[in-house]
Amino acid sequence: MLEGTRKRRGYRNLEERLLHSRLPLVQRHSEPKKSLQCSGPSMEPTIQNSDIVFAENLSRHFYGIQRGDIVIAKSPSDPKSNICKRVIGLEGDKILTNSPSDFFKSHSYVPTGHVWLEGDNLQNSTDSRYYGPIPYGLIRGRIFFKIWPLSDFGFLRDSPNGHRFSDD
Amino acid sequence: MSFMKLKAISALLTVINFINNNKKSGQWWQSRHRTMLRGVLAKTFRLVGYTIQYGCIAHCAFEYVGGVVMCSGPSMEPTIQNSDIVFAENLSRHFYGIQRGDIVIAKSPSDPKSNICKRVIGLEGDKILTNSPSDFFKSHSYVPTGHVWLEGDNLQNSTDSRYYGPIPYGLIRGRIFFKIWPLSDFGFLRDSPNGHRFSDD
Repeated sequence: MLEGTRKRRGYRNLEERLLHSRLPLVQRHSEPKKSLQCSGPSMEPTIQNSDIVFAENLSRHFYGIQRGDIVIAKSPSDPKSNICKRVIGLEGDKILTNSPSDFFKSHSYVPTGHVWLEGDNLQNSTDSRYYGPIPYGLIRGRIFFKIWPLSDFGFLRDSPNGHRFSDD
Repeated sequence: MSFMKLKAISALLTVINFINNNKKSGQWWQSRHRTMLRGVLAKTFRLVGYTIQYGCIAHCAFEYVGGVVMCSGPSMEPTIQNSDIVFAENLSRHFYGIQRGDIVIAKSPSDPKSNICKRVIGLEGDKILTNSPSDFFKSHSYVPTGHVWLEGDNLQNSTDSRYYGPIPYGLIRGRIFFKIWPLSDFGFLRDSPNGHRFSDD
């Protein structure tokens, strides 16, 4: 009986050791929510350079990304980096592909399985107007909450470029 | 008189003792039920905890190390037949070690819910023949940065980059390197039967 007790105690210790070694891995990679730091001017004024935001990865698994969401995606031109843009159009939407000031408006449709991304800072953003619609599979998560700076703490604003969403 | 008093006192004591005994046995039953309930709850929570922990490990393993995959469809014949079971590893894509000639699993660019299984014909910057070699005018194009050009081994029956263009590297999920079913074809996977597609001239 003593031996049985000793074996049980050892097993429990092994599991605790495993738990403590798994925990950082689980927290880093399987957590559905994590905080990230954004850099770059392409999402101003909604997200400034060096802001810290909260991203959740559940929406993309349940295909719940909608128009107007700010998403993080793998860059289509550099798989090692991530981009942070707003979803302007989902598959099948009609998108204005040039500046509204041009005389001839040119439209195009977002292909199936793709999304059209644009930064909020239209003058200073490399987005789908440059590299075209990106496949939905590149989206990593959805940003929904800003935690730094504290002056701007809270849920993120809607797009300042509301006119881009109109399909006519 | 004292005998009567003694008798009364002893009767009272017996009654008190009896009541106490009953109370103790009632408590004992309640505490035993509580202990059993606590035991069952504790076991359930432990089971749920273990399931979550092992689920996380399994998820991390499949996401970052590799796993067993069943392929369906005719687009990779004769290398991979319909309903073959293969082994995929996910380390190459994390270390950016995917090379020309590798068979990869990627998320489909036209349907994010499904995966495709094709061979890498060209990496970024490679010159790709975009039409059949039998055409008179060969049309080439270059694979843009961050993209790969995929083609199935069964060129006549494969929807691949010749149809939807180069796909971003970020869509690649893993690399297939070993077939485990059917046992008649057990082993590492063959090279491409379309070697001529790799030539850049």
